[in-house]
Amino acid sequence: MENRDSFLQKIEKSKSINFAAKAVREFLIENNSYSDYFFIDNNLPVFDSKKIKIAFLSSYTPNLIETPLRVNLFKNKIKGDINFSGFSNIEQELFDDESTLNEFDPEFIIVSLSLEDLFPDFIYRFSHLNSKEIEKEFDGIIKRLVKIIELNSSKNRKTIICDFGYPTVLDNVLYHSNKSSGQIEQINELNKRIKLLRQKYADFSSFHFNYLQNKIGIESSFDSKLWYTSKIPFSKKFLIEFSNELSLHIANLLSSKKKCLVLDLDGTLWGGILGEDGINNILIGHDYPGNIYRDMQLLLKRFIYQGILLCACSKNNLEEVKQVFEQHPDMILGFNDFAASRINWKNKHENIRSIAEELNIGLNSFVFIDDSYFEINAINNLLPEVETIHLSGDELQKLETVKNIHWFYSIDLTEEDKIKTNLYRNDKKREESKTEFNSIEDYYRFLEMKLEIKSSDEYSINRISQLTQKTNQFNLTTRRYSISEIKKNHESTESLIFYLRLKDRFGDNGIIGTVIINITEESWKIDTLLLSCRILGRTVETALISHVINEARKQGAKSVIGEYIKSARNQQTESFYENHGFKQKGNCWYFDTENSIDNPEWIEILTKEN
Amino acid sequence: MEERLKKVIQDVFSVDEVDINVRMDNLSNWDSLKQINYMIALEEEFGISISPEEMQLLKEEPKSVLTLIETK
Repeated sequence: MENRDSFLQKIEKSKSINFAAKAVREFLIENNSYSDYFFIDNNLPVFDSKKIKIAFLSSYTPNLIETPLRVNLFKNKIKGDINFSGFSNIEQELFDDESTLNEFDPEFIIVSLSLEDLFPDFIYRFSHLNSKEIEKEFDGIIKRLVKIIELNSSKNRKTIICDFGYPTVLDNVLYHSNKSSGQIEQINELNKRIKLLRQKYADFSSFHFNYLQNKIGIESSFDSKLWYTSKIPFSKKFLIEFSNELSLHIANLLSSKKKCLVLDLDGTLWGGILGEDGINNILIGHDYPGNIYRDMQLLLKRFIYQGILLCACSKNNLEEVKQVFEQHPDMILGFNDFAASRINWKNKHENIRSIAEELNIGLNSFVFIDDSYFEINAINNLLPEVETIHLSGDELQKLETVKNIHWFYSIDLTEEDKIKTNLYRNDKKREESKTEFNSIEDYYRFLEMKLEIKSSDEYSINRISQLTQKTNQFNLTTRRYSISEIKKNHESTESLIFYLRLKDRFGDNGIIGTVIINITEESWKIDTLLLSCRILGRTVETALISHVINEARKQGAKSVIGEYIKSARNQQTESFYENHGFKQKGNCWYFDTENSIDNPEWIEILTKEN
Repeated sequence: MEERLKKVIQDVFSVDEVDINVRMDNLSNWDSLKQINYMIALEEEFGISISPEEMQLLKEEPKSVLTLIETK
């Protein structure tokens, strides 16, 4: 039992927001009364990390969410500064330069409106309305939202719009549940139109208010007393869940998502201990409690399709473990589903570190799940950048924990994400065949690499933005760009974006790099040059810079200018320009396009445009 | 009971000491929103329901809240 004193001690000891956030998370597992949120809020430590300003625009009183939201944001390592603008004067708040909202100047604006306020006839006179009238009102609502999004975008603010919930009382439930255009269907239609805005407005995202309200229950989400006495339409339970989900949404927009989930085996993927109970007695199957572990495996496996790498890390004998995955008829996960595995008797922190090296991704992209508190605690202390999930309690509780894993939420998924485990598995094959060659050059030739270098197009914009957001190691300038910024560059005549796709005999690596160039009459200046860590060590960077110089010459530029901005993670690119014959002048590196750089003979360049 | 009440007040109003004989709306950070938070926290802590009419009582000395809880 985590009591208040030990929580306060942990908070006092914590040197970083990472550790303090974990302490808050752990405390809340066992202490989540309403006043506990205030207790935590009163004791949140002050680190000098940046505060994120968040404003609410709503047609009701949302202020009660402040404390739970601040606590939940902190749980996600965000220091939130939350502001509420008076309700029902949304446009005035937005357009008046001297309004509280504009004085506050938030980075995020959460828009939460209710149909009761926007379109009361829809709730109280529905049967009286015809479809044309409804459509006209809905058009008006969407136009209003678009205006809000556009205005926020112009001020570099991100807009989060809550979709619409269902009314607590339906107009005439029997009649309308037999019509395809009843209240429920109409609200779904309106919500669909909100979601469609995402295709056009990259600074906008939609929040799943409707789903959340249904998950909790429409009636349990509403509190008549709070509504009629204070114009607060939410129950305590809804407020807490709403703040939690909103903080995850914001965290997702702010930071790169986790890429890898490391799984323990005994007590996590099946019940019992393989080494002691034997393959025939571990709990996994169609009866209780084995059916719960089976469902947990189904839930975990779905992350693979979202581009998350699953890894296994267990203190066990490899042969026995392989036997379970290959022979046990009720297993959902196969040994091949793991991008990497460490089945041995070493400490888990060493194993996770070595998985990170093998996959070439940073430890802060890792999430670790185990039923042993000893292992969880060890990772929390030894690898604080790794997020941990403790599977405590009985099977039913474990299932709840697995259902609620939120670390892999992401607003956009690219095609690459959907096949990522395959990509890494092909990498493994490549690694394995490396050892059969006398020289690395022989190996490069064997790979039959084909590098496609193309100008950006509509299909690649998302992925290019994602690469700028996520690439840390081979990234010369580490400039992060949103989808809308990439789009702007893509459309501008003063800049040029190339993206790279690498294929080899093991498969297609997808889009693995990008170059953003600012064009002037005399020169090409490389604003961004990055490669995904997956394909490093294959001389792709040389092929790329050689191509950029050839293109610059073709288009009349006299020189190519490069720049290196040091970050905590990009040391390996420090001498990239120097190694390729660029000359340093001040902060920049220059290359005269009368010269050229040889393309590595083992990489074939394909430049044909679509 | 009194200790649990004091704990709720300390949390919600972020104060170190609670005097149950002093009116709540004398607190410097008392406002209508705090009052609602106070009510929700009390309802949860003591498993009671406070009616809209009884909400006015929350402004008074915490002692009267104790009496209210005892009658529930």
